[in-house]
Amino acid sequence: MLVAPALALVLLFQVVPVFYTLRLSVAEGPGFHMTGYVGLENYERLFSDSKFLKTNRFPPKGALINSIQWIVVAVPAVILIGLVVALAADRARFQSLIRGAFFLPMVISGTVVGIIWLFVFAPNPDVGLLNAMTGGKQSWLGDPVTVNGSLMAAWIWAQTGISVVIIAAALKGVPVDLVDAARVDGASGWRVFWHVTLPSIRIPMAFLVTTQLVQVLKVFDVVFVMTRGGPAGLSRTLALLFYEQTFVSINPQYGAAIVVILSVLIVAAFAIARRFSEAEVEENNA
Amino acid sequence: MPETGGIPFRGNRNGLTNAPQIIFAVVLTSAIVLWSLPVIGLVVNSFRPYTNATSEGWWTVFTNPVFTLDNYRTALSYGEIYSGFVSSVLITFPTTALVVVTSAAAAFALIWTDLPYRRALYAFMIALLVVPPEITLYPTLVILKGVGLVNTYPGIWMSHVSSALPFGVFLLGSFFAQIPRELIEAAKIDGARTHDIMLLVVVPLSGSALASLATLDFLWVWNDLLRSLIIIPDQSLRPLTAVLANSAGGYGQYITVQAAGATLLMIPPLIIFLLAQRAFIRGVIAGALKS
Repeated sequence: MLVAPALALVLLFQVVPVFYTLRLSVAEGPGFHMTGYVGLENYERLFSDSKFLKTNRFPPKGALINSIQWIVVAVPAVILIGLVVALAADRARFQSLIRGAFFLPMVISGTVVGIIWLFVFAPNPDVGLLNAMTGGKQSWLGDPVTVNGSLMAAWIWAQTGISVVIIAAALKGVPVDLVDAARVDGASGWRVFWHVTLPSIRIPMAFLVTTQLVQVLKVFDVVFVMTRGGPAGLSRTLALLFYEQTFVSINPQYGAAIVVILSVLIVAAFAIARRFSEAEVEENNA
Repeated sequence: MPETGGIPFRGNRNGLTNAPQIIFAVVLTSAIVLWSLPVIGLVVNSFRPYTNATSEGWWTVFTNPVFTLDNYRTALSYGEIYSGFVSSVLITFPTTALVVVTSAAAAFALIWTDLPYRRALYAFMIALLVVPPEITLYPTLVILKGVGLVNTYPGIWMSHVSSALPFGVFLLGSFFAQIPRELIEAAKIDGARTHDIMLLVVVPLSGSALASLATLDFLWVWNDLLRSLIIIPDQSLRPLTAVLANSAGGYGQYITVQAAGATLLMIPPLIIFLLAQRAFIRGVIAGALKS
């Protein structure tokens, strides 16, 4: 039975755990002993927990808001920078230099990325490159105003390589005759880009948006290494809150509710992408 | 030929003309510098004496080139970093081998045998691609605790392998499916048994897909932090990611040792990347889906 080991492993460590977590999120009882059901209590509690969502003051705070902030800022940044670099690199020389600079950050672990950027953001201007360049003594990771932006900068730096790889590969597939035809018709460079190049790469772009969305929802390593969610929990993301509640505060029921919400968001991102690509296929067949 | 404003139209095939190209060249150059500096900083600091690293920025290395190997000596004689590196090796290599073998066996059985319900099983494996690993972590810990495999290598191997399997079956399955049916049929007529068909026909034809899977999985496992923190709570058995993540920022006077540890952690992915860049990039393009 060639398929038996694979099947046994996914049943034991994927299928069973998913149901276990779902059940745990509506259960009560300490540790492993689920003694009864509490319905949606854990979920309701989340919305009155300021660590998850704090709305009594403007602007709202909490892990949910931080994760939304990551989606709104980091995802577009990774894709836009990737697009610019891929376009610029398309016919540039020194391809190996470009690869080295952008691809290295994407193969190293989030842990190393965090340590690298701890150096960059070090408050001491004799250690931290950023303060040396700006001539200040800013504590980038200790200041509530700059902490999330700083973490996202490290993340964007690490993720741009993937964005470049996917967009560069997509650009190779743009039909040359379509571009030439548009030029013959007198379209300017930018118009060709907007009306020919961009529409031709929309499927890989949608794919990239989806994967980045999912990645950003799961952000853990960089935050854990650089700030542990601080100062005062202001840089906590959903994945970090899940980790803290489940494994540090040992509150697996509550952690389960958080990870279920996280998973629902992730599956929703996949589902939207799938509908998008299916609609795309039908349109092409019509 | 059409000309715009009397200037002969020259642009690249994505429709960008000279002016944007110059802007792009400038943007590209500054981006390359900006993207390289943080890594260079880490590596330079790992070779700097502690007093230099904290009293003058690493960028002064060009005017004051003082280097030392002490940070690496300390890192390697310092128990945690050394044992972390060993753990990372002992976790990553077996896991990668197991992922490739179990995925290949399952993908072959689901594509090229008459296993009952094979289509449904294949669809089921693919559907598991959307399950985020996070939702399985706590129950995995509970299950591994139940069988006494927390803080053991087999425990984390199984956890990693099960998580990588849906992607492995997806990647290899879509590759195996492209192998011409005639080849398989011919082997059957020649009397080849199922195992022979897999090992003598399918596997030799699938080198590039197997390499992509091995490369990607090696990187996922080597770079993993969250799963290691949970499945291996014992400090002395933890991989290097978890060791460094725990001490990050808290090392105080050991920041140069930390830099050496991080550089060591960076080396294997770098080697893999240089050796198997094409396999890696193919894999990323084929399935950024999973990660």
